[in-house]
Amino acid sequence: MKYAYYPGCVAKSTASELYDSTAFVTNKLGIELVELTAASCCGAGVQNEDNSFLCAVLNARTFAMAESMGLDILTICSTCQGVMRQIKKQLKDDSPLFSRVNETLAKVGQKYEGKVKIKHLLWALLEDYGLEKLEAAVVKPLKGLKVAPFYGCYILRPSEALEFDDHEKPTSLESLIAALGGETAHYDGETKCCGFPILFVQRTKAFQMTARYLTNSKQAGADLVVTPCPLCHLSLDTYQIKAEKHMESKINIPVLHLSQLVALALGAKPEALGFSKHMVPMEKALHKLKP
Amino acid sequence: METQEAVFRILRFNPEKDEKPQYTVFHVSIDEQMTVLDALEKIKHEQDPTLTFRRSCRSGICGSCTMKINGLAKLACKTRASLEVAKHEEVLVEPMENMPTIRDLVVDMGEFWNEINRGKPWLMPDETVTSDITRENLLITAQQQVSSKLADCIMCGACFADCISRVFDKNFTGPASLAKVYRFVADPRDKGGDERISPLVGMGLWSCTHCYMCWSQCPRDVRPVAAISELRTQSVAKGDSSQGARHVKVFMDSIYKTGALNEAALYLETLRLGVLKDLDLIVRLGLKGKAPSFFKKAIPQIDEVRLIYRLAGEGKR
Amino acid sequence: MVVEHDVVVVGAGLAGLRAAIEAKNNGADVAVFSKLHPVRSHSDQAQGGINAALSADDSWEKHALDTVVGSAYLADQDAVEVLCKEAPKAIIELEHWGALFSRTTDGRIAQRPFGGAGFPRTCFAADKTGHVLQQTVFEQTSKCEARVYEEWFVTSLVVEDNVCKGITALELLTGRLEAFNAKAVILATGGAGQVYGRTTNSLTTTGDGMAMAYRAGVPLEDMEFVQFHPTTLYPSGILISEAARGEGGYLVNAKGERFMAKYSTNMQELAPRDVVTRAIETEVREGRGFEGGYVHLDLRHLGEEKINERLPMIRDLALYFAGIDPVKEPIPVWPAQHYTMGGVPTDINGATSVKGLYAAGECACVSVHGANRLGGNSLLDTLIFGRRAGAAAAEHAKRVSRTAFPTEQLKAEEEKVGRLLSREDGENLWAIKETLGAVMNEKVGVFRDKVGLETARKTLQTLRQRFERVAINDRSRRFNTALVEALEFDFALDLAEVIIASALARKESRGAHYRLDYSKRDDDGWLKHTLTARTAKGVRLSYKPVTITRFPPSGGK
Repeated sequence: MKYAYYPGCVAKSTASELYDSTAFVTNKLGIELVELTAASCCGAGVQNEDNSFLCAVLNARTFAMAESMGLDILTICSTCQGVMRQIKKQLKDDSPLFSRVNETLAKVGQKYEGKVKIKHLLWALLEDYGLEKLEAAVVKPLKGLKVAPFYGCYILRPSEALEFDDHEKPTSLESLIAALGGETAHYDGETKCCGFPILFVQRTKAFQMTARYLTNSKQAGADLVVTPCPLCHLSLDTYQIKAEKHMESKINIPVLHLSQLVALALGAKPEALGFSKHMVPMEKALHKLKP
Repeated sequence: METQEAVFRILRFNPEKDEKPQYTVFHVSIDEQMTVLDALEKIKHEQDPTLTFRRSCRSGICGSCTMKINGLAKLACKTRASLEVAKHEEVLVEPMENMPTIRDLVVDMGEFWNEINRGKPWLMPDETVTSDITRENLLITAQQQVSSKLADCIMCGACFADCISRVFDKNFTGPASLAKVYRFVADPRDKGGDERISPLVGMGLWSCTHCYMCWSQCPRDVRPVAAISELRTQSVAKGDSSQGARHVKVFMDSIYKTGALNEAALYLETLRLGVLKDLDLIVRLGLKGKAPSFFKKAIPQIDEVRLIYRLAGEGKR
Repeated sequence: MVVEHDVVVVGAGLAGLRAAIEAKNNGADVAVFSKLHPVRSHSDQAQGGINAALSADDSWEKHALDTVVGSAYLADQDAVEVLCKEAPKAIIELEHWGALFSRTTDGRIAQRPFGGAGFPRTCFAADKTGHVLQQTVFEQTSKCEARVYEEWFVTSLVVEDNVCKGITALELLTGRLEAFNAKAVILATGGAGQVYGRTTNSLTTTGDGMAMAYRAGVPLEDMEFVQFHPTTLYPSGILISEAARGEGGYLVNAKGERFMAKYSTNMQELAPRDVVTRAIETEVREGRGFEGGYVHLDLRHLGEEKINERLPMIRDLALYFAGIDPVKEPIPVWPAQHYTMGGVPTDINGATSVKGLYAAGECACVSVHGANRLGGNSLLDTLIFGRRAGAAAAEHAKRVSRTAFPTEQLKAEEEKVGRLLSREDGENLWAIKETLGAVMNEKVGVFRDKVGLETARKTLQTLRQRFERVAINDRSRRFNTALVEALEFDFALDLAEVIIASALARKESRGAHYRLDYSKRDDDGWLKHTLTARTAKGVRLSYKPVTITRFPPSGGK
């Protein structure tokens, strides 16, 4: 298995620990990643609000780069995946736009054929690698850990563009958690929003969102939360200490990115997974894992 | 057609006599084609006449029967009971969110209608054209395509009910209201212009989290979130100086300069003095080695990105 | 304390809102009463289109001729002339208000062929014309800030000495009844489809205004003329617009034959609705239908692109409600009740025989549709006569002074509601309703005869007795929909009675009224309108002449 790797901006700076844990996972599983270092930011749903054509061209350039390598794109960010899949669908459905985009791309010597597939690590593990194989590769099963899945938005909606999980009743994270030996704790908020897109503009509201859903996950008995998106990770972990000021008590539930959870189960040392960079400590959850 | 016994768990509440809402369970024999509305009517006619819900056209066009079915706002007349049972084992029926309950599944949609009216939802025409009653405005299909899709809205309230932002922000006018504004902004016959765009910031234009719930739940595929993005573009172009608009501009600059997000710059330039609120956080992040650097190297082949910016009409920065 | 308004409009569909806008713009203090939020009104469901002679190659006279012929010469021609003359202006006005009509390649309002029309003059908005027009008119109502009493159920008209004084109405939220003093009342409550079990009409289209007028002493006109739409989904009865045939769809029986050629050599699938309906019913009766009693509407040859562009909602409806994709499979269709040609008699300004009482839209009978309505003329009717009634009512309100309001009727209404709420053991409302619906379908449907109609009359009497003992078993005053359904059904019983009486009396076949025992049209004996008045002894029938101006009747002997 070989992919053109698109880590997304946050995984390369503020959340670099996710970059490292992804590297561990892909190495362990024999997945080869060729990073698209010259690819630009996907726009995160913000860029298209100033110039949607620009956003389409910049993403098409990323697609073209992967196509010229003969590879599909793998990303560890729900937002990147969601933005890209939507643009891909838009270009597929709108042929005049597709032509205009390629006209512009031609000026930088690129051409988007419309063939590339964009996969989140989660899909790649479930569809391409296979859960049975993954289960066999597990070295440190997450026995005893109750994991609350936080899907968030971009990896589920709109379902026609994403073509993977059912946004009404998603099961992908649950299947993954089970394959890793853990137990899923369901709660109200799994498929809701972490508030990141309005973190700057409507701080308090974003915090209230985070606080409510994290509290729900805790009340459902979860030991930790797992999310496929580095932006959700930022919101739910880094800002948790701000968010909990809107609830009566501390929340104190650790949040992991998908790559960290998988890496843990594949035998990575916790120290190598950057837990020290998290705002909410992982110790309690890690203790539960000890044999 | 094959039939099966299905469990309908319905949230009931009559403030006239109940202290708080409670679930009642009904068993209904359903076939493959029956809708949730068909089942509710059956329950009302044969089992419990006090079950209260709105309905009219039973064909997905009037928007009366919106309710929360298995956790999400849907039109009861367009929801197949057998599919709900297949996915969720039972049919959980509750009133829509974000609106107070009047009785059982009937909610008070007053706030929803108020929000729609905030956007002045009627055409603002060119009076010189409309004074001639013998001729219609000339418009080709392509010119009214966007408006036509937005005008498909049946005002069912599903998007408003499931809007996550609206749960936490009562000043956010909501997806239907903004979609309706854009229906007119995108209509070549509308001369509202700035009068339509400038109030939007105050109506919560930048409160949308683009969680895509409105896109998912809309029974008419109106896609309000896409309309909101378009309105934001227009607002920015018309000199919107709010924090939301600033965030977009900083984002655009960042990608031009380095090809990626400069989080530190994004944070600082959007929030400006607001960052002082996070001083404790910044210090802790710094100590953990997680704080992003202010100085970012540009990605390789950044000139391509910059050229594309210029070709897409953005100019040098 | 009785609340006062100048003009009260009952019903917030196209006719009601158009009337309200006109009255408001003419300076009246207007109040619209609707038992639904206005955008939920049944007008919203119309699909196919709205007629107007816009083209230079067409003329209002040709439109009028088609209308009169389609009406089997029962339409009042002076009213038809008004309808067709004012049509182009009405369409342009809606377009100026923002209605999103489908367009030609050079940007004009597009028009398509429709049943019984000699020229393609049906303007449309894909196949959601009603929705587009209703939204547009509602927007204008919001703009002019006309007051809307939303979710108030009007229970009666208050008439004294042949003068309309106002209404009584039930606020759904609280269950309390109030009286409203009005100088003019416009009834715009739509049709009475729910009298029939199989109908395209919404569950709320229960003929309230017609029944209220009847009870207030206004005889109803031409109630035997009930239109059955040929193509509704099997088995739900959800409308599949004539537009599907206008765009080229075929009707095919179980033997694979395009059978309409037998019944209408020239127009085939686009013959007037009564012809197509009887054709389908005949095919089914003679054993050439599919099991269950339906035929096929085949759109496959139109291709996916055309279907998506012109008939997207029909595709959606077939998929959702019949599990069929019309791009790939033919749609199962059968006829169902669709439109009530009869109603409250009015002149060309919407005025009834009671001073200050007006009516417009489907609940009125001007008569522009006579014995059978052409597709595309109903939406037009609502705008033309809605506007005229609004103007006339406003004018009336300016001229007259307010009179004292008799409060006895409010007391009577309160007692009626009280009885319905309090009765404990009794008949199940919906069981009675189902029986009414079934007998109307079977005996007062597409094909009628004396035996069937008399059976229906007798059944109706039993149903009325059962209804006297109905127990709705919901005692709450708060948003009591069972109570509303009972009040609606009370109206339906009256309307069923007049429909049956009118049908029994008319010993001929004309337009939508077809008697197996009197299968010919008889202009000598029956070129006249039926009037049904309420008396203590039941329905009293009388007749009035048809106004003929430029089109002498032909083909009626």
